Amino acid sequence: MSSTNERIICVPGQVLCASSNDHVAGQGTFERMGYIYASLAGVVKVEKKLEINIVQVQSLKEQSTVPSPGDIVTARVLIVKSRQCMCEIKCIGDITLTRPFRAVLRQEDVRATEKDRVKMYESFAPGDIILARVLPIMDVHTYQLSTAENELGVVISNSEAGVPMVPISWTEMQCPVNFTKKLRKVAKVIPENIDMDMEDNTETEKKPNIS
Amino acid sequence: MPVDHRRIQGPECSEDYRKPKNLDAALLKKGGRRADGRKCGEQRKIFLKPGVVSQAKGSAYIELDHTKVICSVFDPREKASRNVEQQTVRGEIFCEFKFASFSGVQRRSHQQEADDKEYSLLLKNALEPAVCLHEFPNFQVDVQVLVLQDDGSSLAAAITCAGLALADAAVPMYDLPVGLSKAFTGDTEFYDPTGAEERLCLRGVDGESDHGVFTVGFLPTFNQVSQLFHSGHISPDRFEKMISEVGTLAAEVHKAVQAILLSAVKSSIDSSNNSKLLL
Repeated sequence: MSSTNERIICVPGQVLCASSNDHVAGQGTFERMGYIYASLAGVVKVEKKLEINIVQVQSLKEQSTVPSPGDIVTARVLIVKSRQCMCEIKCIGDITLTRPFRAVLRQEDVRATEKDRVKMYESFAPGDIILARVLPIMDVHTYQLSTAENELGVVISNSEAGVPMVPISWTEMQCPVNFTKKLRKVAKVIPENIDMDMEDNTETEKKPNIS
Repeated sequence: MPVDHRRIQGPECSEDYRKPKNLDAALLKKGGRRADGRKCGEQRKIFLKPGVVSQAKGSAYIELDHTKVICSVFDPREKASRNVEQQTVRGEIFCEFKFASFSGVQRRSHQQEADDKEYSLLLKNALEPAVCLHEFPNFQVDVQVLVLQDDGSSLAAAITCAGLALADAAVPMYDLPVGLSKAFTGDTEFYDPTGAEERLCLRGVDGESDHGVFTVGFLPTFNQVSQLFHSGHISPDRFEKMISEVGTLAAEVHKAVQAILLSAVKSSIDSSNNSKLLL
């Protein structure tokens, strides 16, 4: 190992320390035959958590993020079929991906209640941007998503006029130009700046409701 | 192009079946020195540089005198699902080895030929044990190797180069793989052979039984051989002796790769002005 300014730099395969109850292998390291080795080229960081030292290696290049079960991802709907829809994962959390990943959203995973009565055409449309959660990997080749929560579902959807539609309920969105209503599984996105004054909110959100 | 599967295709070029009588005078000068002045057990000077291809996530360039190899490693992408039955959740390395058309004396095809495909598989076997495949399940990491100039030991150089490129791409690895090659005929051994030495040893010298070129992919930290490729004829005792020497020979190359990687990390830290890493 070599150090610059009290920082320890390491390369893959380099021994960092002996593993014990105090020292645990963290990200960028692996344990073998009682020793902790580095698996990346970078800087060694030791994090202390409840008297346990977690030995990590932080690489200079971002390690490629891969969707893992439980992550909330932003995806675009590509194809809508009767029992499932094919999506493309664009972001994982805050990180935008350089390469999109393919995923499948099945009929049973769209809602938490009345799972079999869901109609895919009334929940999603091609081109919608959705927030979904990654399910544990079952299928070898594609990721499985779920929108069975209030906060998950369609976030942005463009109408035929090409304008983003406005959500009017948990199952409907309306186009502000021609006022047509479309059925979607809308996500309960809590805006970052909430105006707590309820009176102001109702006035600004008044929209003509011509059906 | 329609390929004829019924007939056995002969090789495109023909070679004299007679073996040379003795070691070519040009290959071994007086005093036991080789054509380029090296001793039989001496390695050529290595030039290694990581981060040479801007479009790739990680890359490396290696030069062993006249053998020049460049390697690029790309971000993990979804496995090109060929085998639906292959239900493995492990990641995969997809190697593509190619000799450039201008790399040898005779022009090569711009598409992968038979030996390119063979070397791709050998390279994959050499690199796979070194990479933590469980860290990227269902994804494949593309490793593309291009030999710009081939003057012997190109597979060994490619293994070393690919190892450095993978480390440069922040792909989690157990160890830095190192490639070594040795050409021998009879009692004469050429460590890190040049093209001419390789060609002679592949054919062998008349009257001497042991001959060939030995290429090894080695993991120095764990003292394990990940890949072994030999073309020729070797006796079991000779084989054992060669394997036992691999460890000490690999240490030199491993030191060079480690030093280059460390200095690359150091210079990145200094250039980024300690801004991100202190967080």
